[in-house]
Amino acid sequence: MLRKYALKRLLVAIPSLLIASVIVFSLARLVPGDVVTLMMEENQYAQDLEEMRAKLGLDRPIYRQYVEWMGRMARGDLGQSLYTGKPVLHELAWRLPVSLELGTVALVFAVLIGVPIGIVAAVRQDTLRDYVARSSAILGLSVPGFWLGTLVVVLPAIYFGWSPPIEFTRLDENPWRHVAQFLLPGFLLGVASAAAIMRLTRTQLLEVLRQDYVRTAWSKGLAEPGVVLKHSLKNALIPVVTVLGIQIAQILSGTVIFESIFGLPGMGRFLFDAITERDYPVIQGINLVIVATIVLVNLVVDVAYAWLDPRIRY
Amino acid sequence: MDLSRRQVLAMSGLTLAGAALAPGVARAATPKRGGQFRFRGYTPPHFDPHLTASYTTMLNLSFSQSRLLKHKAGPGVKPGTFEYEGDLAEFFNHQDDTTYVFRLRRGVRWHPKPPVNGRELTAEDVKYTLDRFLTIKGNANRHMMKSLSKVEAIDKYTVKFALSEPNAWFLDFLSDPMALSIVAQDAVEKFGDLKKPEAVIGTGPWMLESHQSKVRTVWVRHPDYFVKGLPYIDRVEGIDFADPAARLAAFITGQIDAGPEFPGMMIRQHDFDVVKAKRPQTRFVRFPSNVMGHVGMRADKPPFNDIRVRKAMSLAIDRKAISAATAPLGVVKNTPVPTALTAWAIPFDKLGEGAKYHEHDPKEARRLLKAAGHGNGFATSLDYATYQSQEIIDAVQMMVKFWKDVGVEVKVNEKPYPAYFATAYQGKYEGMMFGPQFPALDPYNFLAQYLPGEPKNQSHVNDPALTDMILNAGRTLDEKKRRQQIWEIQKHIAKQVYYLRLDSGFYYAALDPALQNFGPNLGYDYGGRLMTAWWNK
Repeated sequence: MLRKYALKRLLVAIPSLLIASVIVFSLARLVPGDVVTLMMEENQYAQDLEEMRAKLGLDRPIYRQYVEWMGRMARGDLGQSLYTGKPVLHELAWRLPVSLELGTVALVFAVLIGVPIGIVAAVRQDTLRDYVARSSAILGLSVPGFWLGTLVVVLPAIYFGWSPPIEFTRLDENPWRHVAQFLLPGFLLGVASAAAIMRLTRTQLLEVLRQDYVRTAWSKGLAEPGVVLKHSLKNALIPVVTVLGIQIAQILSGTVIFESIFGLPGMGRFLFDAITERDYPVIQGINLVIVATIVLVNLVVDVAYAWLDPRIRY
Repeated sequence: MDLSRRQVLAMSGLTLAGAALAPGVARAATPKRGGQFRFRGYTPPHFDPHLTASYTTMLNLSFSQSRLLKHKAGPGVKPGTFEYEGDLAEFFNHQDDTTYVFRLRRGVRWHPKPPVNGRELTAEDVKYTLDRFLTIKGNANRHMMKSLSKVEAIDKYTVKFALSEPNAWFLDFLSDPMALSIVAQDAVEKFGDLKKPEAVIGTGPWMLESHQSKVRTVWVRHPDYFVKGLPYIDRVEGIDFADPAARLAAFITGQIDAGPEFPGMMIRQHDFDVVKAKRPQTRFVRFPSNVMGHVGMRADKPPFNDIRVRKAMSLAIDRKAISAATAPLGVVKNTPVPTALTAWAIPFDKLGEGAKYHEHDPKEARRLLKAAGHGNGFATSLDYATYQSQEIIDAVQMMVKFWKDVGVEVKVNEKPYPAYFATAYQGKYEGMMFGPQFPALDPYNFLAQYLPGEPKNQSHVNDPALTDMILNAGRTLDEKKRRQQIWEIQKHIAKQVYYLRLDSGFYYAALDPALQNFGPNLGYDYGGRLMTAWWNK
């Protein structure tokens, strides 16, 4: 049954990917003006306009361009960076893990902060702790990440003479420093997600806490931790798992800013630089990878959702 | 070819050997070997100097490559001056106005890397480089050598350059860090081109050890560098990090040794007080920027083909107000060659009649507009790009207001940088354009903006008298005479008001005080300037 459901979700994911691929493919072609002329004159990415068109694959009919491009993508050929001349896949091979590490740390912080505070806020509804938690969540959601990141970098430098290391340390150079450099950006990136998770955990838990079976548990004289953590939380967290999928997408997009601020050479910064440098093959390649990742994560979340709650079948 | 004693003695250029053997070494303190220098690095598009005009490439190559001539460096050199001295060339002479002969140093070794493996540099390498520079497709800097017609390797250490016509700027171009790195043919043949980091093989003071795109570039000391004892610093690290706030924090906390802003050793004016307070021992060196912003006008069609209109547009601008708003730590008034290039810019007080159009006089502006038939003003447009600079946005907004005050309605077209660069910057616009100009180190690049047919001629200037003056100066080898000609050209330009120049701010080079014998300057020759510096920690 679950397998059938998973298969259905997979079939739904395929058109999503195809639509996304059309959008990503169209990017370079929808830019106003002649993008080839712009890229040539600004960055001299090729020796002449014709070579530039050939590099971008713009010298053939558009349907052929799309089919060929998709063919290459399917074979894992994401094209070549015009700026560095290296294959996009080669660049991603070492940058993607950086973003994944950052995203994982952010997600861990988001869950570690969001779920416990959500529980406290629900259990102590309409108390000072609840108000503080909810206000903090709204603050966490509303403060722009780039502003928070900038403050965290600059203010300690000004007041305490300390700032996060600017140099990226690889795992093989110094494992502790490697992990440590992700903690601060991961925490900041996780804050906004934590706020969303906290609010949903609180709402869902409040709903569950009002259900009959929970009232029965209370009346049986079970202790609060048992009622909340054992009997209520498990059911309350099912929607949170879905939201985690959305949060992963948000965290992925957040890496663009945080990797730039904290000097982490991940996929987000690669995308940011590629946009600055009009490196369209890279922009297309990364966007496709991001879209594919998000579709895949949501697929996994959907399947996990069905696995956690056997009643769910679409 | 053997040079005769007479020829050597008759050298019309500099006698370079003495200076080159110990270029710019400080006289007082004792140099110390060792240590590393960390600065804000840049990831270049690639490393082939003949296939890009990107300053990021040239800046990186300044550590590893040599040129025939280079600019003198050191704390004794006044920023904004670019006197040349021998780099690979031991000396040179002019045989006549169109022939230069360079004698190379002996025993110059390429970096000990394959395929050259530390072999000796010869005249053939120089010839190969110049031939490649002139013939390779896609070299955006080719114009610098356009007067060069032939290069001959006379013997192992002598190379002869024949020009098609006298070019007084030829030696300036040869010493310019933007273009003339000498490269090895073996490397080009092995790698196909010089784009990859492993193809960065030179004879310069440091060797490229590693390059991680958008992370860091590391250079280590060249053990067989041709100036014995140099460089003093063992390792140089260019750390590429994008965020300006993070860069400032890194400098305050001592994670880098020089100011983190463009062009790599400066701080932003509004960060000055913070740096001064938080890193009080920082050594600051202040000098005017050669980045000059100007308004170009279509001088080839109405209304800007009328000199009265151009003068009125200039007089309408309150430059003092713009400077106060955008450069609080002070500005210099620019002459047509930016004031920062002190050897060539005419002192502003000697600019003559043209100087008055730099002042704010809206009454006179209205009078001139009326006389030109625009008593009720007129409407025009201004194309620009923000360069992500609040100062540029502010300057544009203020100018629009000042022009409106005299009756000229200006519609602002803000363009993305690539679109701006491909259009307005190349003179493709309707009314006016505004933007900072390329920060060249020689006056010719600025004067080329007045030559018909030059892409830099944004105002579409076609002034035969001025064209003759500029071309004549280019043929005048006598430097004193040429300086006088350049001054006269600037006076003429100022009177004609072809561009509306704004003032330039100051750069604040911010340096760790323990860095000795280092003098900052304009331009991208970081390696050349760092070569003789050492740490006194």
